[in-house]
Amino acid sequence: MSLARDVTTVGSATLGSRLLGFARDMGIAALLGAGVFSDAFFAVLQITNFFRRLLAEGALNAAFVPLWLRIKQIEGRAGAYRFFQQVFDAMLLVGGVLAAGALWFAPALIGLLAPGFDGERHALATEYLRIVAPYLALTGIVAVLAAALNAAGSHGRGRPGHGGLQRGAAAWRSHGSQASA
Amino acid sequence: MTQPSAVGAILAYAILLAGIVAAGRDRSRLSAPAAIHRQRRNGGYRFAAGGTALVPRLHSLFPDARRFFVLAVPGLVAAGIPQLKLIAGAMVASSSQAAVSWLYYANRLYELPLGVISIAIASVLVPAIAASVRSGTAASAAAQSRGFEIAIGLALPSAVGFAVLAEPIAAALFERGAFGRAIPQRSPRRSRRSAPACPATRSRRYSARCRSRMRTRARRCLLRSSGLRPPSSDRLRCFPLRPRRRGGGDCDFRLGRRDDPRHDLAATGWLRLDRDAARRLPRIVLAAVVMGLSIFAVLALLAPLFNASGSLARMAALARPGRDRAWRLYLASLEVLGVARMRDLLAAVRKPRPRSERSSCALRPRVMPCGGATDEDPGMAFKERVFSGVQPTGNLHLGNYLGAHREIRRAAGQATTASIAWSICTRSRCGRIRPSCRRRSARSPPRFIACGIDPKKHIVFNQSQVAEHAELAWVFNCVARLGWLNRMTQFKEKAGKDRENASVGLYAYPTLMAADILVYRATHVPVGEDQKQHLELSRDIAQKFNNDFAESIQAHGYGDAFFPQPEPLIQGPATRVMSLRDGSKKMSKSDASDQSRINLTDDADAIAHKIRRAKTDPGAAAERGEGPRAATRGRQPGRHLRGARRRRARRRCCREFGGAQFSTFKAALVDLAVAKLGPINAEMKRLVADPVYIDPVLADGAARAQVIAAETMKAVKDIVGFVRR
Repeated sequence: MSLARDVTTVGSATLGSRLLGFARDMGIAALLGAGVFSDAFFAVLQITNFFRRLLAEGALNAAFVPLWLRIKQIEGRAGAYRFFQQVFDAMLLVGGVLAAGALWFAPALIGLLAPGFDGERHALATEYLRIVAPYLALTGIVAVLAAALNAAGSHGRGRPGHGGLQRGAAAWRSHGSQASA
Repeated sequence: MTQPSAVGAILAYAILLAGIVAAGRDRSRLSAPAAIHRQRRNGGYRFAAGGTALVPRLHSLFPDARRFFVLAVPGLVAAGIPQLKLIAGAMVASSSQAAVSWLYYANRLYELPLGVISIAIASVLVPAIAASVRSGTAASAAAQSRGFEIAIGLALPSAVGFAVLAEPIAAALFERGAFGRAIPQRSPRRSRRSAPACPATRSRRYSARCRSRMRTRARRCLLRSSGLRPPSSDRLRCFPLRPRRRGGGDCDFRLGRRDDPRHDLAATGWLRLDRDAARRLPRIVLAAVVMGLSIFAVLALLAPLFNASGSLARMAALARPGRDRAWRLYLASLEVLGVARMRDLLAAVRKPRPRSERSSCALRPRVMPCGGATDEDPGMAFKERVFSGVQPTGNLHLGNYLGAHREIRRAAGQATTASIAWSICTRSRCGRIRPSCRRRSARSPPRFIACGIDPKKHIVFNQSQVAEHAELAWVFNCVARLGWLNRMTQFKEKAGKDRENASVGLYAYPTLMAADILVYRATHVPVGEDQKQHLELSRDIAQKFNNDFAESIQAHGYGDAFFPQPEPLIQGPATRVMSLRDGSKKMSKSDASDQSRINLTDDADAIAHKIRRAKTDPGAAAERGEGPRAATRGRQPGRHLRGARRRRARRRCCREFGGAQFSTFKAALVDLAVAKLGPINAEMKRLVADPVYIDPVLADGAARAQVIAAETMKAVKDIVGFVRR
């Protein structure tokens, strides 16, 4: 039955964090309600959430660390560093292109992701997307940096949390701007 | 107004981005030119004449990164699918006013229990299942079944709760501020609709039934997106439908671990449930339904309250049936249906008391089967056994008596028969072997016995008479790491500057000590401060052995751990008795001056003489102008002698001798020492004078010790794979 105990331990820790997140959602609900602003906000938030889940929540880490360690084993530190450089640059390139695309084609993108938005909501969502667009570039870089630190420092032990912080900052930006607008 | 703010934000981000890029690239600029050269040689970067402009040739730009992306992308996509699903939901919902927001809130609601369960499962059950897979199909099926039961048992009531309580939950949680009273009417319904997503069963029937209730196309898509695939279902899918191929190379990109349980499970195929699960799962469903029905009934009773009062009352009303009664009801119905007893559930959930809490000093005589470790707590399974070793160096002195022997005697009095092994370590003597060893070791046991160890009740023996010590020490030499031994301060002290000339025995001595302790699988060891580090090492070795050979230990039926982690028995007030000549040093039997210690062999006159000549701390007293009283607190031998010898609280000593002269105190001390040590002296002299007495005692002890040691050694050989006769 120690299995049940372990599940309870991990589960209760997760529950704590979820409850905090829930408190935040209650706050958002109280602040934004369910209307034009919140529709636009949440639609754009889904995009950033998508990239957060994609990059910052360990999937990239799980791909990076073993490869890094293997390259380090075969080619030594310099090889591992070169690998990191290349991944960093590639991620920068991809993220940059994505961010630039999001900035440039924001109206079209919103039209694609939220086809039902009318004029006001569409304009709002476009603006929010432009605000959070750089996040797409930043999160990839930060994820690579974190993965590299992870690989170099503690050899594969996960260190979650940084992504959430950054995303929080991005969301807060869009939120603040929304409130002012 | 919005335009400038957006432009400003973009500018700020551009600056931030530039900063991060600069920081990242700077490292490459600063890195050795050789690295750049290598990159160039490998066709990585092409530097233009200026050295700054990169001319990319796409196919050879990032050779390593390409490998990385090939590996990473499937994992990334898998991680992103739940979110893609939410985006799809938002796409569909965007056409109706405020639907995106409702969808978001509803998602948050049902992700609450689902996230908890799925993460707990991912981090706890998956490793457990992986471990069980290796030990066979039956164990694997059992682990999968238990995991499935836990998941369903937690998720299903949550789902039912959401389905029944959707409206009050949403109202109580969200209905304030901008989220007006009129609006949330539709959000709870969404929450209810997405409730089926909660149990990870992804039951198509359930969703189909719900689908038929849908009115608009948007809602149908919404359910399809949230119901068919719960957000974390891919984490729950530790039971793959068919074997997955690894994503290229030998690096697994999903978990970054080679022992990805999913691959192991892939070998065993589909989710296997055992008979117990087949019996329990329907009952769990039934219990959840019972719970749902009763909540519904309670809700119907409370309905007037909802209509009458505001949000706070709603919250209170929600909290009570929702949290308290519903869960209790659910647990009760589980109990009635015979799925699980409440007591068992609570016991399973309750944490075991940490090991450190179990008192190290108070020995509870508890007899447990020596080898049979249960799954519950490996530490509990070991029979309590105290082991103590003494080197036959010189004489026992007051510090030994106060520090170890008195405690040993106390522990011995509490412990059960033959649960204590005392050894006199002849062989090692810190790595030095001399003919004088024999003479000395012949003198040690009588002292031991004179201090109050009953050789019949306990085991007193010579280490060199039990060969298993050395055998196990070799195994431990292979388990222990050089780095651990390098840290041993005793070796550094004893080897001094002449490290190269120290014997290997002196260096490896701590592993022999670990073997001394663990060959009897001792759980408690009375140690002084100076030996604590060695005991720590013994614990490390035991732990590493248990880890390294975990599978083998399990396979041979010794449970989770073969060796216990020996705990120190730290003694009472006088763990450190100071030297009589130098209050800053410990009383030591190897001190050159005999005047610095009170030997247990000293007679009354000698004790009196030594105490009278002992150094006190008048300096400290004079400085503070308090007379001898201050000395009781100073760092000087008197304090330790007094505090410990009289076995009184120090405060009481201070009161008693507060204003007195040192001579008064010393006189009292001499009386006490003589009274305590006198009988020991007499007994010791008697035993030493009788050479026929001690040899049979030791032979008997060795024979008894060997029985235990041989049993351990036999098991160790099996575990590590040595061939034995």
